Amino acid sequence: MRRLPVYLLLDTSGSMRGEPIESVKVGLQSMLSSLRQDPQALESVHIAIITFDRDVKTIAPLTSLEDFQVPDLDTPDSGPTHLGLALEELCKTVDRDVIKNSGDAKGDWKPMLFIMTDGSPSDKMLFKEMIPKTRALNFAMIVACAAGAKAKKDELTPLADHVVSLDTMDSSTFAGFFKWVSDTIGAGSTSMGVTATPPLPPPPPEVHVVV
Amino acid sequence: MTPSESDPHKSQNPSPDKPEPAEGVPPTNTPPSEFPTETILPETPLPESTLPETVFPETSLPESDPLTPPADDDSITAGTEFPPDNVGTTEHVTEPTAPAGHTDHAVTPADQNNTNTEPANTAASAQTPPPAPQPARPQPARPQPVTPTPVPVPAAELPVPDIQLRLPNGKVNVPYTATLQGLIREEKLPAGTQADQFEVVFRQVAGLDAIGLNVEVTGSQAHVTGTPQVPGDHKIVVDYTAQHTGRSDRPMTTRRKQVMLTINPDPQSLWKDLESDPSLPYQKPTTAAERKAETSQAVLLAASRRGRSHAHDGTFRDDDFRLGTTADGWHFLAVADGAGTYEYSREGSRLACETAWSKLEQHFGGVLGDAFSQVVTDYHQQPADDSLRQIRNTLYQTLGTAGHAAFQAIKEEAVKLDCPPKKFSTTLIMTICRRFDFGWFVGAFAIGDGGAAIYRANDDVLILNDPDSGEFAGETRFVTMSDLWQSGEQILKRIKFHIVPDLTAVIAMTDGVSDPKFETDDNFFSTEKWHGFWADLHKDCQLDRDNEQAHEELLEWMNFWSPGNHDDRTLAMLLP
Repeated sequence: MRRLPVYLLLDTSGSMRGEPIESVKVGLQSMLSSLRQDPQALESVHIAIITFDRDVKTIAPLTSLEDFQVPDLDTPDSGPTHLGLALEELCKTVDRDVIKNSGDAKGDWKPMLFIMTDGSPSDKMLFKEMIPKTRALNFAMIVACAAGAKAKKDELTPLADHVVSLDTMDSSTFAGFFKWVSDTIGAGSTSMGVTATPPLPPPPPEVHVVV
Repeated sequence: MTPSESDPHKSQNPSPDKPEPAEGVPPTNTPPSEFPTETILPETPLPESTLPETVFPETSLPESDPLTPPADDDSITAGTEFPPDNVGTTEHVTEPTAPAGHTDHAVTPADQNNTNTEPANTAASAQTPPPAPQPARPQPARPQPVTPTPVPVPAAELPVPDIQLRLPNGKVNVPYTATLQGLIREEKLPAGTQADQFEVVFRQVAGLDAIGLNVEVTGSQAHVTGTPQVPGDHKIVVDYTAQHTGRSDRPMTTRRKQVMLTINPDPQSLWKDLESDPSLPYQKPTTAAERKAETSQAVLLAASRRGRSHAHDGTFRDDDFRLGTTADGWHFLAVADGAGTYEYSREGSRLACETAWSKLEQHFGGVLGDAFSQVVTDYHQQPADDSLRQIRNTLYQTLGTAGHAAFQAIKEEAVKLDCPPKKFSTTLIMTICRRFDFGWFVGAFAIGDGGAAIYRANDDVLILNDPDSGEFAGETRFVTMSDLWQSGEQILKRIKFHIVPDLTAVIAMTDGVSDPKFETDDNFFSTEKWHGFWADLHKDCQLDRDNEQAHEELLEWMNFWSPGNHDDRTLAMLLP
């Protein structure tokens, strides 16, 4: 059966410590519960989570929605935000994970990518270098979320099809954001098979669509 | 060397004196002058970018507050010594092992949620001046969020280390088995201790009954078995103790922890079946089934059913079919698959089938009359280039024109609505069949995916089309693509015919049937897979001429469950 791979890239740098990262965990859990109500998502969605701060870690390899459990999310006290390195790891992972169409095998649907950061990439040169490479990976959709006041939306615009911003990083804002992510994935799983970008569902008030 | 001879997909013609009909050579003296030659750029099927309604119900999960104690708890002591982790609440519970007379245990005055649970101690303390009796606090109707206050640990007790608990996810109605083990969390050990000094012992695991699961607690493990009945994220409450091996004189304390058990719903139960909007134009019922037994030579059957995807969204069936039989024995089968992303594709499929039939009807008795029958007979007796060319010309004039007429009809309808024809995008597969003394003549014309075949129980299957497919799933060609109609050669490539001594059935289907039943193009061309398909049909259907319910049985069969395959399903069949 065809899989819809969904990649989440989450900022776990020091500024996410405390309520923000707790809210992300709660948001992820409700995103999963919400997706599990959708029969099409339940059949096809597979999720992987890569976190980035100073280090880049694949804390959850691509796993079916049925089997997925939210892993522990740790944040170091402080340190850089290596989004460029995260994209590099993502490219390697997608190359390895995603199954292409062949005469006698059913390939995956085009994968989706959601990036959440509350700051700005510390490894700017690598980040810039990875933008075209990430875009060349054939994602059905790339969404970047600039969370909080310090996040730089403009830096994300060349990378993503859609950039959204969150004013704050409290639990209700992240809840709204992850609900919208789950709606977007659901819409993606409904329109599977269509070549163009899946349609974007209406965002909640906390999520401002920049692009 | 004709293209068909080099194509591995084409089955070998079993009778050596009947060469495989060749395709790819346009009629020499008939340029496609009847078809418009306007130069329009080939259209690519770009879907409309409409925002769908959100399809998710509001999540009904309670707020996941890591500080909320379990609702059914009545012996909890508020106050945690270690920071709560993300898996659940950790509560510190003291067992009533205090020496007689000692009534002061770790119930903090600040605690507001707990009842006094030590009747034994109260009785035992009768010898000492009793403290002010604590009124029994009523159990609150709902668990209140509790702010933990640090509890000073009595010197006699050793804090119990935190453990990591995880249970794998399960699914409703699927047998579940898991072993709960307590892994000491090294990063959260009490100061001055090591993980290997502790022995974790489970006391109680609660909350599984309600889901339909059982647990057997055996010391350091808890075995969970059973078949879960209730979907959702369930909070399971685990009471455990951890004895420190070097300090067996210390009282054993029990901690309480929550672990989440996710039970996935049964996917079949999630599919909704919603009515489509009655106010929209081009209404179409969710199912259709028909049987035509108007001549003695053959019975025609067809069934069409709205797929689960469309039922879930409350949109229309986009597939359609048409059956037709003429008095002089020509039989017509057509199936069409409207493109889901286009607004009026349900009308496109209907219009395509209807128009193709009515156009062809004009030719039966005319171009496809006695003269054609003679050509076919001649060709059968003596295959020659001349008669072959005549057959191909005639099919081009009839099937080709019928398909083109379908395109025209859609264009005219689009003009009425002042919208582009692609809003009516649809595939179209047509077959015409006639019995002769020597066997059956079957001709076909196809645009799009899905497929048609001559199935024979005792011989190779003969596939009547080259399914159109693109790089990605779901990409195909449609009747409304004007570039298809520009070249006579291209049109002729889509037309095929066979003459066979006998056949079991002629079958046309949309990809809603071919995807789940054949899965790949390779399989669609495999005789063995077709035998399997025929057997599959016969599990639910009695496909013989005399069965007056055959079309209803076919419609029922079409309700089969196939994960990942929820498209509209249509199948049309000729039974000799």
